[in-house]
Amino acid sequence: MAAPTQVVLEGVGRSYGRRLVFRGITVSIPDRSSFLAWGPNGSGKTTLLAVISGLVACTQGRVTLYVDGHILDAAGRRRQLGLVSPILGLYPQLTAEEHLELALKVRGFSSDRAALRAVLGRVGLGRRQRDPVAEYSTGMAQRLKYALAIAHEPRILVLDEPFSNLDPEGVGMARAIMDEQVRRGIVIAAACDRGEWADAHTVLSLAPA
Amino acid sequence: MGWLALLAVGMSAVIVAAFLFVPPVRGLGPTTAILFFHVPPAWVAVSAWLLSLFHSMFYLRRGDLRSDRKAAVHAELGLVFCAITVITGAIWARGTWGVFWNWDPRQTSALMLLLIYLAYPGLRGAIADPIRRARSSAAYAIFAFATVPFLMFVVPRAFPSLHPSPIIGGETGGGLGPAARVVFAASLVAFTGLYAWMYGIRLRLEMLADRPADRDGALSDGLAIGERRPPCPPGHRAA
Amino acid sequence: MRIPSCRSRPLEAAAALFIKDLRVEFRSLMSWGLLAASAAGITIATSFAFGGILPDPLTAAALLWIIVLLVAMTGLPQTFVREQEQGTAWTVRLWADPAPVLAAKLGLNFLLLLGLAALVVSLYGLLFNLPLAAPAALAGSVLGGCAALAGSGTLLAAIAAGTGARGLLLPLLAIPLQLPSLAAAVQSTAMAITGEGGATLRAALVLLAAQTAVSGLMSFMLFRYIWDEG
Repeated sequence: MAAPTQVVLEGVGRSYGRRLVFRGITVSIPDRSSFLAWGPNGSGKTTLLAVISGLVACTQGRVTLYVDGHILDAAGRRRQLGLVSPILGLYPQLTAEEHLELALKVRGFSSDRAALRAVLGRVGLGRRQRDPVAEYSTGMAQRLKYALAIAHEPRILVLDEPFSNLDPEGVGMARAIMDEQVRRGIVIAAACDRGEWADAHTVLSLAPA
Repeated sequence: MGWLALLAVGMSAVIVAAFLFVPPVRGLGPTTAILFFHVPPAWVAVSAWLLSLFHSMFYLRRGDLRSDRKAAVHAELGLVFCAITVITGAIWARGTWGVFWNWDPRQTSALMLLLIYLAYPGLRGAIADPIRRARSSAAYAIFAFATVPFLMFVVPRAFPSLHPSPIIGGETGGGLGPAARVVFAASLVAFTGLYAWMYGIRLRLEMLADRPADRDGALSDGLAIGERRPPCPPGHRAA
Repeated sequence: MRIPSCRSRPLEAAAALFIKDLRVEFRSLMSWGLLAASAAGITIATSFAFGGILPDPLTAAALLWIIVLLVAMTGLPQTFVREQEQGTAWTVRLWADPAPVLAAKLGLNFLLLLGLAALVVSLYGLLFNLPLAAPAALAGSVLGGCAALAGSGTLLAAIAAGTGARGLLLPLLAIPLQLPSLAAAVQSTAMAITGEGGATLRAALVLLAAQTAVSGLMSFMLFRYIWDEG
C-alpha cells in the first residue's frame, strides 16, 4: 500500500517525435519532503516538471500522485497541485486580483476578497493587485505566479526555476513558501545549479539530451 | 505479383466490356458505360473514408501512431477515388441532364467530402509534431464526418422542401440487364483490388519513413525520406 | 490563510473563463474593434458597389452571411491564437478541465459573430433601406446562423490555431463544413427580408438548430484531444 501522500515516477520518459528528452526516471518522493532535479539547459527539467504536473503526457512509464491515500485524477490534480513555471503565461490584460480569482474559481474553490488580499500580501503584491500584469516587471510576474500556485493550498508544489527574476527579498519569500510547503506536503523543484537549493531531501541530476 | 497481373487483366476486361458488350440501360442510353467507372469508385471512396474514420477513432482511443498513419493513407486514397467519381459524375450529368454541375444533393455531398478531404492533408502538413498532428487530424476527420453526412443526408430528407430529392433513383437497381450486372460486379472487384494495391504501397512507404521512431527510446539521426524534425512547443525544450 | 472550501462546479468554471475571455478581448483594443471595422468596411463597399439599391432578397442575404463568414475566418481563431502566444494556454490547462474552456470559447465566438452580424444588418438597414418585413424572423435567422457558424467554427478554430499557420488554415478547414449552415442561414434570412416563409422558414431555423446541436456535441467530445498536451 502506498504512503498516504507521495509522488511516484516509474520509468518516466518523454520524447518529441524522435528527440528523446529524458527516459527511465524512477523516483518516489514521500510526504513532507523536497525533491530537486538539476541539470544544464536542455536536460529536460521543464518537461519533467510539466509531466509531473500533468500538462504533458509521458511517452514512457507512469507518474502517480497520491494524496491522503487517494490517487489523483485530472480534477484532483488541479486542486492538489500548484505549479510555478516559465511555461505558464499570464494575461497582460488582467490584474493580479483577477488572475487569482480566476485560478480559484475554475479549480472549484470559492474566493473572497480577504483571502485574495492575504495571498497577494504574502508575495508582496498587495499594493499592485489592481494593476494589469502588462505593467508588472518580470520579478513581479514571478511573485504573482507564486500567489497563483499557493492560493488553493496544494499538497504538492512544483517549482521550475524557483528563484528566477526574484530580488533578494523575493528569494527570501520563495524560500519561506518552500519551507512551509515541506511542512505541509511535497515540494518538487528544478534548477540549473544544485547549489541553489542545497537542503533538498532528494536530488536527481539530469544529463543533457 | 500474380494477383497484380490478375488485377491488370481484370481492369482491362472491365474497360473493354463496359464499352463494347453492355447494352445501353434504359434511362441512361449512350452514357451507360460511365456507370461502371462512376459508382464503384464512389463506393471505394466512401469505404476508404469509413476506414480512415475508424482508424482515427482507434488513434484517439489508443494513441498508437500506426493507426494515425493508416487513417492518413485511407483518407488520401479516398480522395483519388472520389475525384474519379466527381469527374465521371459531371460527365454523366452533362450527358443526362445537359449540364456538368447543378448542385444536385449527391453532387453537393460528393463535392463537400472532396473539399473536406482536400483540407485534411493541408492540416497534416501544417503540424510538425507527430502527436499533435495525429490528434488534430483525427479530431478534424471525426468532426467533419459526424457533421457533414448528418447535414447532407439526414436533415435534408426530413425537410424535403429545402433540397430536391436525387434525380436518379436506384442507379444500380432493377434497370440493369444480366451483362451489365456482371460487368458492374467485376468493376467493383477491380476497383477494390486497385485500391488495396495502392494502399499497400502507400502504407509501406509511410511505415518505412517512420521506422526508427518505433524502436524503444532509440535516437536516430538518420533521417528517412519525407521526415520532418518536429520542433518543441515553446518553452518546452529546456529549463 | 484560510483553507478555501472546494466543490466541482463546471458551470461556474465556464462562467469565470467566459468573463476572463471577454475581459481579455475587450482590453485588447485592437481585436474586436478591428474585426468590426473590416465588417463595416466590406458592407459599405458592397452597398456602394450596388449603388445603394437593395439587390433581390436572396442576394442580399447571401452577401450578408458571406461578409460575416469572411470576417469570422479571421476572428474565430483569435482567442486561441492569443492564448498560445501569451503562453496562457498552459496556465488554463493547468487550472481548468477542457469542457469549461470550450464552453467559454463557444460563448465568446457566438457573441463575436452576433456582434458582427448585428453590425452588418444595421448597416444594411442604413445603407440599403432594408425593409423590416419580419423582424422576429430576421432576429431568429441571425441568432440561428451565428449559433451554427460559431458551433462548428470554434473547434475548427482551435485546430487551426494549433498549426504552424496559426489561424490562417481556418478557411480551408471550416468552409466545406460550414456550407450547409451558410445555405440555411441565407435561406431563412432571405425569407425574413421578404416577410414570407412560414413552414419553409421554420424548417431552415430547425436545420440551423440541429447543426448547432450536432457540431456543439461533437466539439465537446473532441476538444480535449486538441486542447490538452502538445
